[in-house]
Amino acid sequence: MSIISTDFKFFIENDINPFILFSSKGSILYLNKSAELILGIDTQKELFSLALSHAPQSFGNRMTAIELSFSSFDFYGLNTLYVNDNEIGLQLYSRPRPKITKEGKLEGYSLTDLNLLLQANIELFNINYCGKISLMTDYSMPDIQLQQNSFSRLLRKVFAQFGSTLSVEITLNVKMGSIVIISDKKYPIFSLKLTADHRKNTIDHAIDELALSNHIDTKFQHNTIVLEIPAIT
Amino acid sequence: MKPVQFLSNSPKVKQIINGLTLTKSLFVASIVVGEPYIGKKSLVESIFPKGTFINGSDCDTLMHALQTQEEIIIYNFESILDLSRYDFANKRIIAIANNIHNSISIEEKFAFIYHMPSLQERPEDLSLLLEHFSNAISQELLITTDTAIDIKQLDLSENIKSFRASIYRQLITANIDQEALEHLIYKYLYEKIEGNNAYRDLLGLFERPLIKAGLSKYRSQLKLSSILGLNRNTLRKKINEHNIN
Repeated sequence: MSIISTDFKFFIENDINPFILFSSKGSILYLNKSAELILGIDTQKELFSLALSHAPQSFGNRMTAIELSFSSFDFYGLNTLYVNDNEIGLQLYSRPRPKITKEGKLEGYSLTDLNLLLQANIELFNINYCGKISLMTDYSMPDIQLQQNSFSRLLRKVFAQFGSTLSVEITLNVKMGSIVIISDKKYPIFSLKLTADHRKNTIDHAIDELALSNHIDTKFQHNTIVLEIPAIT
Repeated sequence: MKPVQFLSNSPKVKQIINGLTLTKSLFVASIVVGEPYIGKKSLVESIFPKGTFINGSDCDTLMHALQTQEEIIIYNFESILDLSRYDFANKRIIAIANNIHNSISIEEKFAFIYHMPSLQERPEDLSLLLEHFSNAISQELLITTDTAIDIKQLDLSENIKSFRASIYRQLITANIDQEALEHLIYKYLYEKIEGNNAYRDLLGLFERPLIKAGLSKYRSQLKLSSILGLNRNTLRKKINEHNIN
């Protein structure tokens, strides 16, 4: 390996993965552009605590595979680095987003009123559901490109996870601070969240596969499913 | 063409109507599954009055329609044996089926799967349908509409088909006069009278309903024998002969 002398700060500054350099007391000495997007008052403490708890025993670095979410961003691992007692660095590894096909040309997609499609799926689910359904949505959302049949099949499978619950809360809104870039164009992300006291999780894998085929990101928790839908207009 | 109106007070049926109505403008595949004669086709026709209806057993017409049209209603859908031949993507498909052979294929093809309840599962629809069919049949038969129908005697075994037939029967029997009854018996006897013991063979046609009606009305063999002017032993003999309980 050849030894070069250059300023790596530019590369770190523009890295898609957040990087933060903390002092020994937890104050921020440096953060790159990606880190700015995830940082808040609470997150700073949480991230510093995360760096300390995953730091190597002596000088050097330690990489850890861990699922993390900050703001609207998801990470699959972190790297903690320190070379002296005064500073500690933390790098988070961003989870890749689903890939959108061929320069935004979406075969079989058509402009769709997402609220209308959601309402039809709620009607279908409600035929055999005995619990209470509450819906919070933004009816001013624009029509977006969707594969209507495939997306509805996805919704049917998602709703089926909540069939035996006492109540289910459905929230559809724009995910603040998040965008997806397709063919150099930025689009917002719509977030559809279903929450209940519990859910069946036996077909999470099938849901994930179907979601990916619709270019939709999924997040599963023991009582919640979130679909992140690129709002391609 | 007169628009089809679908009558139902059943919450489940109303939800199916709402679901289909909401997806009227979307390119999705929906299927309505349920027993024969529960009104599936009428329901779909009421929502898609201008839809192109294609029999599922007519493979060539169906294949051509899928290539040329964006909205198709397929009835007798269970007749389709090889579902993989047909591409429903980006079309508005409404399928009507009495049953489902392959539920996995159906789940793969259809976004909206509606299970329509049978008439027995829709008790709230009985009085509504009774009124509708009574009026229609009374007009057709030119009889008065104030005939009381015994709802307990209506046959739901084959859903609307048997339900409607039993309303016909009740209305006809309630409105038949002696002349018409004699005419009916005449027609029947004319077909059946033959052999060398026809009198005894056909006497049951008169005796059986007479004794059954008498027992229902007076609830006593003694009383009935007196009303009929028969010996009590003779009446008992005839009850046994005709296997009347």
